[in-house]
Amino acid sequence: MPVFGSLGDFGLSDVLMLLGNRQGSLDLRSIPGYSQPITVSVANGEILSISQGGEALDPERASALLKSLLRQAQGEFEFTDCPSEHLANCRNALRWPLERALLTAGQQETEWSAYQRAFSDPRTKFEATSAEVQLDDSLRDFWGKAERLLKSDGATAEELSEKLAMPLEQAQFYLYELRLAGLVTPARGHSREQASKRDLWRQVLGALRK
Amino acid sequence: MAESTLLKLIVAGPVGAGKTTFIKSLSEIPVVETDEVASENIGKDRTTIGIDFGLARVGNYEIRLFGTPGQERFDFMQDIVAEGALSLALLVSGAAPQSLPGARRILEYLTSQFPMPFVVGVTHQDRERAWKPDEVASFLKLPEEQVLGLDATSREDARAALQRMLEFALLGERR
Repeated sequence: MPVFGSLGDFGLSDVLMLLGNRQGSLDLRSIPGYSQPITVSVANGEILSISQGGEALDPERASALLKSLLRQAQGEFEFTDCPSEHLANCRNALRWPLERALLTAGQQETEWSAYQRAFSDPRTKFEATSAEVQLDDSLRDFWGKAERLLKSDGATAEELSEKLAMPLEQAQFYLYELRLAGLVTPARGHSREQASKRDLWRQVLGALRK
Repeated sequence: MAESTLLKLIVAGPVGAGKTTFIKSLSEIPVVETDEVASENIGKDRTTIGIDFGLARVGNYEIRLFGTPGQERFDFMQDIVAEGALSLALLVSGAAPQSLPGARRILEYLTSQFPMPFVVGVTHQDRERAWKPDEVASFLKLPEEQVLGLDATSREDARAALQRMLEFALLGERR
């Protein structure tokens, strides 16, 4: 069963990240302004090619199209798994690492409102990962200010907005970008209180199995 | 007879995922429903506007089941029921991929602010076009074993989801 849905519900960045470990073709249809079907071929965490009306685009046109598509809030998508031998024939292979391509395309866009659909709840706590990634100037500046907070107890967009004196949507946008870059992730740690419930979990599990 | 211990399970997820049905499947008392006629187009005529309540007995344990409303405007109710919860079952319909970003938003918020074991149940697997559990796991960036397909009308499936959640939680504590 193919992965399918509407770009009104998922940002394209979400869809592409979902396909990180799959190989196949993502067909985009009913995109305003684009009468010809668009296909993004992915494999092994890379964008292999972007084609429009069956023609593989050169890197410059592909990059411009990707940037435009990332802002789209209308259109349908459907992903179909393809055998690797079929994808190996992709002409003009771009071989763009997915996360890097998305981050680069996003950083060129300063209107964070275009990405609001993909933002997390402003009360979701994020924490820093151990990844090391090169960032552009604006994101590096934010990371420099927020890193300590994100590395200690974690922080929400609401907290970062207040402590760093910036609009909430901007803090959400930067967290979204840092997440794409792999530098932060929603906190999901086991609290001390939770660890103390371990015996209880075991007893309930034992009762369920009877 | 030994005194029973009260525990709390939250059943959360977007509109139409099958939360009320799931609670009815598990509950051993008539479920206190808060369904009302939907005031906006959410794909069904009636929806939960308050907190559904049921009670499941597992050995000497009584598990209070709290179902949160799926509409975003009722998000504040999640905080009310999440405090002190034993665990979370997040339900999402595989046939309604448009609800997945909302499901992720709920899951990430609740588990970042109220750390607790959780499982994700993907309903409507009998539909012709539906995302499979492994695809939902990939979208939510979760291990595949933490996401399972289930029929919300099945008591066995609902209990299996509880079991999977606790097994996974204990496994996580050992890691």
